[in-house]
Amino acid sequence: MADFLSEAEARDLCDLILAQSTSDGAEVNLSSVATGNTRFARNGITTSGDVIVDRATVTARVGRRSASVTWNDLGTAAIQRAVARADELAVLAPEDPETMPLLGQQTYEQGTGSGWTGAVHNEWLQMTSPRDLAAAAIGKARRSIDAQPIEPGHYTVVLEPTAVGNLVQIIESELDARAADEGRSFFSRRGGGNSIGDAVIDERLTLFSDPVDPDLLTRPFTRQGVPLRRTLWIDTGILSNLAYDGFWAAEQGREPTLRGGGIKLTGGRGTTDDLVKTVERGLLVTRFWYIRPVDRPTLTYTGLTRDGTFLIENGQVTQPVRNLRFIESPISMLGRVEEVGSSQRVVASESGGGGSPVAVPALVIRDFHFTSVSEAV
Amino acid sequence: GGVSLKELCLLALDAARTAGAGYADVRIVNTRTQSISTRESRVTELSDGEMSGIGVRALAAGAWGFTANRGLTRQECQQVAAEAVERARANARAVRAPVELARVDAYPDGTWRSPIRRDPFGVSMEEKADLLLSANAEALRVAGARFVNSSMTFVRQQTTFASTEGSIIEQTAYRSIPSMTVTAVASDFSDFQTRTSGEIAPMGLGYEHVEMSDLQGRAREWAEDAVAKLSAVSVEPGQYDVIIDPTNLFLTIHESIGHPTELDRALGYEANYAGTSFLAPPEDVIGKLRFGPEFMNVLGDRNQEGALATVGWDDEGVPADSWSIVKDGLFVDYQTTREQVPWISDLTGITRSHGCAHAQSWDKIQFQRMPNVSLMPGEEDLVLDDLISATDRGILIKGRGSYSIDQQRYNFQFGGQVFHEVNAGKIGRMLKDVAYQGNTLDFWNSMDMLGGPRSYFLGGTVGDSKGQPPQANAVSHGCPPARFNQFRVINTAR
Repeated sequence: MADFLSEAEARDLCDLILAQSTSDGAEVNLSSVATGNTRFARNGITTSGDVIVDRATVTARVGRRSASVTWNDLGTAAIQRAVARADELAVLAPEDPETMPLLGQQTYEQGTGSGWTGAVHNEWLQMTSPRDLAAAAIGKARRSIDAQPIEPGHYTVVLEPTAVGNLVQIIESELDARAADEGRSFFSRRGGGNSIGDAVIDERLTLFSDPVDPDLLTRPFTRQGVPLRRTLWIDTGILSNLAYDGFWAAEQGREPTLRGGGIKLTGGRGTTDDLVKTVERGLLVTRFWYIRPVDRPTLTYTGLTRDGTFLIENGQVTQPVRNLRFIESPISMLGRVEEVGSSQRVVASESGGGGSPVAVPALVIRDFHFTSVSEAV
Repeated sequence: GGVSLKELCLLALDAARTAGAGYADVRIVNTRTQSISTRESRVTELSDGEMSGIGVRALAAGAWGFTANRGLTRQECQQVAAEAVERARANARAVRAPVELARVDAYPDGTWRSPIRRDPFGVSMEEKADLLLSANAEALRVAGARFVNSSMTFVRQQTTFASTEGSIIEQTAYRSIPSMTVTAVASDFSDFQTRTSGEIAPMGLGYEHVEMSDLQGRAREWAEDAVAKLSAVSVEPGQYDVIIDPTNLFLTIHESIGHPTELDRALGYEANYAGTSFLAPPEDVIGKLRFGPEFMNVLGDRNQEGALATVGWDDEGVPADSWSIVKDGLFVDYQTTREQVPWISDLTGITRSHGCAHAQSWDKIQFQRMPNVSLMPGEEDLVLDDLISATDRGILIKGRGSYSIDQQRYNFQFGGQVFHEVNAGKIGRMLKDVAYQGNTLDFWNSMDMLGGPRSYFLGGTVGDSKGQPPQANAVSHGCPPARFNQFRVINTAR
């Protein structure tokens, strides 16, 4: 059966694909991903599946025109057809004045991570055991029985790292210089330009990307093959960088800075339990869900708490409360930080799958805005 | 020599039977996707592509197993089938009750195709680029409209399906998705507002849908709305009679009726990600729970012409169906697959699947997905203007905006694209920062006016996500405009 591609096979295929193109230039992106899954529900297995997905994308360039074709049949005839189609489309494409030259040879950071394989680690054997994960989930579920509604309003919250990750990952997609310069981003400055240089969050906090950080460990290049290095986005509270693609960087007289390489927030030490002890009255949140944008200029989002929400009184978790809907801005909440814990990798995606690495600490935040109660369990 | 896809399917089924499967089905799927995106006067993306492979699902020892591979030789197809059965046997060790499937008829020669009139893949890229760039130019003629993005995406999915029940079915489904967003920026950069083409739904149709959408003709109106939103009045929160246009209401139906009526959610099978449902347990709610007023009727279907979830047969060979989910305001039935329908047959009297099995592609297992779910128009021939004239103090909401709902589908908050006051039966000032927020059953039970047949519109979404690993689904929702009495409106900027 078509199997997972080895490095040698992948290189040979890339050479073959590029050799077919008759355009001025071409680039190819080839991936081979083997995935397996087993699903449990109602205490039994429901389904499982194994699949290897290969995907090749070739982008053909004719002067300032380009077009891409994606396919997965890696036989010679199919490769020839796909590349011919890309060449044909590239000729027909309108010229793009923002076309940048094709990338030459690059050097990349040497990461040591294997593929992302588990809930909290790149190495299967170092992952928290499924038994421990299940015990933690069961414990929370038991402690959530008979949750009572609480009045919506502004609360001091202790956000577990997963909850912090759910919100902080949103900031990454907003770090775009062009959108800011065009006046359509949270990071646009009144009167024009962007907010690089402004204090945007608490001065204890630093937000960066780094493909070889041991908590992130991810691909050290973008889909276009551009190297990714450590990039400081927010440095002790000050916005230091926004993402500039090749074209916009040239327009603005800067070096390109690209997003990728995961996202990590640092600024303190301590576990969630340590942070709970510092709170006289507040709420402990396990994670957030169904987070969606409400107002783009202020980066305001709405969503709900889920899977374990508790009242804190005098530094102790006392009782479970019903889930709550919030309206908050991930950026402005980071300006209301009381305490910062130690950073750890989390599963921040809504579907609980892999995705771009996110490492964040637990946080205590004051005046977190909850707007209504949900009966949902 | 060449072997047909049907023959490959039958070889795979034979291999599954030989390996001991009690039931097996196979899908060989070829999906072609083409996209062209533009901003202002540039084409930013031009892509085309085709992905294909085989997925075999087998039932052995009471458990499911699934394997998929891109290889389409005789040997590879047989090997995939054998592995699916091996997987089923491994899973059988942790299954609590053996899977039982409701009966389905055999269709040894089934064929179906989306009712397209013009093949989108036969239209040149130049024609497509010209259409989008001309539309962009129209939008930018409006003073204050600074940026515009427009795009069109086309999908053609060809599926050859066969099952050990004796069905062999070939289907070709098309999707056409044109779209535009205009951005206006305040001259002092203090604000920006966007207007997206909510009146244009993604559809299971061909290029004729793009032509009828008339992006060039409507661009101006969208651009004017985006600019007007900059100086719209920030809404005073409170209770209002909320009149919701179908370009917004379709998504509320999706979130608050479509999702909670998925039977697997109601029984806890999707709790880990997509959530559960307040419509549970079935014995407490079927025929008993009042979802809305007596004039409220909701149908599930997979046969509305041009709708996104419309097919000839589902991904386990069940023919397209149409059935009541809410009848005269009462909840009466869920969405089901062959495995699920026996769980509630005693309560519904229905012993056949409603045909909701769907897999995103060859490489993913089919499971219960939302069909088209639609709110039927009222009998009286009312249109939106009639709802407006009957309203003394209200807010009119059009277009799809922000949307968020809890994991049991109770507490929701929905925004929109364009909002207007309604005073003494007339449209007034444009508003902004509007969202309507509340609880699903309170909302539908507050519905007090419903548009008639002439006002029915088919909205749709292509991004519905469920399952782990997640799978995407495309689904349409038809509805007329409707009015909701004294519902809570919040100001999202405060």
